[in-house]
Amino acid sequence: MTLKTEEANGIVQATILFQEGSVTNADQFKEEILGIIGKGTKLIVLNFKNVSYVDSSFLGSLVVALKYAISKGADIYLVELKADVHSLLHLIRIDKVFKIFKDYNEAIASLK
Amino acid sequence: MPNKLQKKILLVEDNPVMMKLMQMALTKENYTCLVADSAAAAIEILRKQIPDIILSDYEMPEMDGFAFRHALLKNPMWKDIPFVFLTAHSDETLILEGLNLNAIDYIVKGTPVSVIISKITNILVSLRTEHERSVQELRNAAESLNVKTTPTAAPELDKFTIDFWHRSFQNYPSGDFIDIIKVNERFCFVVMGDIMGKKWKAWFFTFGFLSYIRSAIRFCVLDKNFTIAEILEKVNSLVCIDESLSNILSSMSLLMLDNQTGYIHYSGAGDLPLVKYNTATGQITSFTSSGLLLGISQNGLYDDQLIEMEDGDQLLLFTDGLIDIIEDEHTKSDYHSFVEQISAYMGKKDSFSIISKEILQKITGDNQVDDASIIFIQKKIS
Repeated sequence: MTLKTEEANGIVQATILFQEGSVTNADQFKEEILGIIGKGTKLIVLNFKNVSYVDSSFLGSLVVALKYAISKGADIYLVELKADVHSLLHLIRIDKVFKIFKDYNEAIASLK
Repeated sequence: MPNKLQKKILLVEDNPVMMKLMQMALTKENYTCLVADSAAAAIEILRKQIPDIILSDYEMPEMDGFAFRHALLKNPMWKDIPFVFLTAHSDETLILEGLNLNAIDYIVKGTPVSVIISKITNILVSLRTEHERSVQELRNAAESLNVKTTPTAAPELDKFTIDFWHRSFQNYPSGDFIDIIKVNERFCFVVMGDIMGKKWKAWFFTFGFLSYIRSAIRFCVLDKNFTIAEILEKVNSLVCIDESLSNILSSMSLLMLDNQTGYIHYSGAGDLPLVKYNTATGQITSFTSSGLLLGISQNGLYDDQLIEMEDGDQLLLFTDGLIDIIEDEHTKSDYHSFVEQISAYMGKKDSFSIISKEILQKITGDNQVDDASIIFIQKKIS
């Protein structure tokens, strides 16, 4: 298990449990996200508060999960990114494909 | 990357005295020690980080050592972590039961701590040797197929010199790729990419990407189309259409060196910003492209930038393996520190040799966390 999930009003709030997203957990993480989308969820708000490092294996899984979500008419928002992680996402322009918010409440407010 | 990767051991022990004793001895031997006083606490730790080996007590309240081992075997992320039982029993039936659960060894409590440490060290060394042997066999197989993802040498060019360096992660064939293609006397293309992922999974796909990239460059040259953003668009379209690459993404920097004007055209896909040293001003500037990683979307937003190179100017491109550092046992990515570190060596007569000596040669199996590649281009002084 790499995620702690909570569902409310069709939105799944998923908190990543590991500190380092890497080759050791990237596949499992992807399978769990695909599982949530497979159940028909239209929005996952993915909380990064525990994550202080991500490598390219993890980022690959994250983007593949987003591609799958989009193909199912769903979306993945990212929240509570630490500065280092946010900065890496920005450097390699992954921030252009994800909607990123400060926290869950801000993400939900954007829907209104 | 100054810090050595310490071996991480997870110690599961409900007796606080025994735990403290083991923890002190292991720390003294340069192990990073994670401690849990129950199987449940150990599982909580495993959710966050994966140790190199687990040393677990057998007799524990609630979930005992066997139940803990069963729980690990059910989880694909945990089942292959080397596991050693520590127990007060020397009962053969118990030992056999433990070994049947793929526990690597069984250590009876009361064994002197120094012997326990030696046993653990031996287990880790022999596992590493075995692992290296398997990787070497696979490398040999890859080499016999005569497929390479980095060139043997850079071509001679009128106006530029090119140096490159590459080191793969843990000696696996790499997911980074480099290619230098001199298409005619005027233009030379320099390609550097990083398949997202590690080890074999990444390496396997480098050939697919390289084939598309080489073809796209050749077709554009045949059509006399030298707009490199369009080349990148073509590569991206092919990658997006190809079903076998549907879950594979890659970063890529594409440069076209013009030996007539002395300028460099640049387009990038999710790559790290390039770093340029300007000889006249002594300033460092970076170039960020707008393009998305190859394989994300048909509309990759690729742009074409012109980098004006004057005599002596230097340009660096590198993959993310170089910016990852291990600090206080945690890994972090720090592009800006790396640029700051490397900037000190730019603008010298033999910058690349200094960078090699001061940074690249210090990267070893112990402190490297990903495939790492760098390309250094200098405009010759006419």
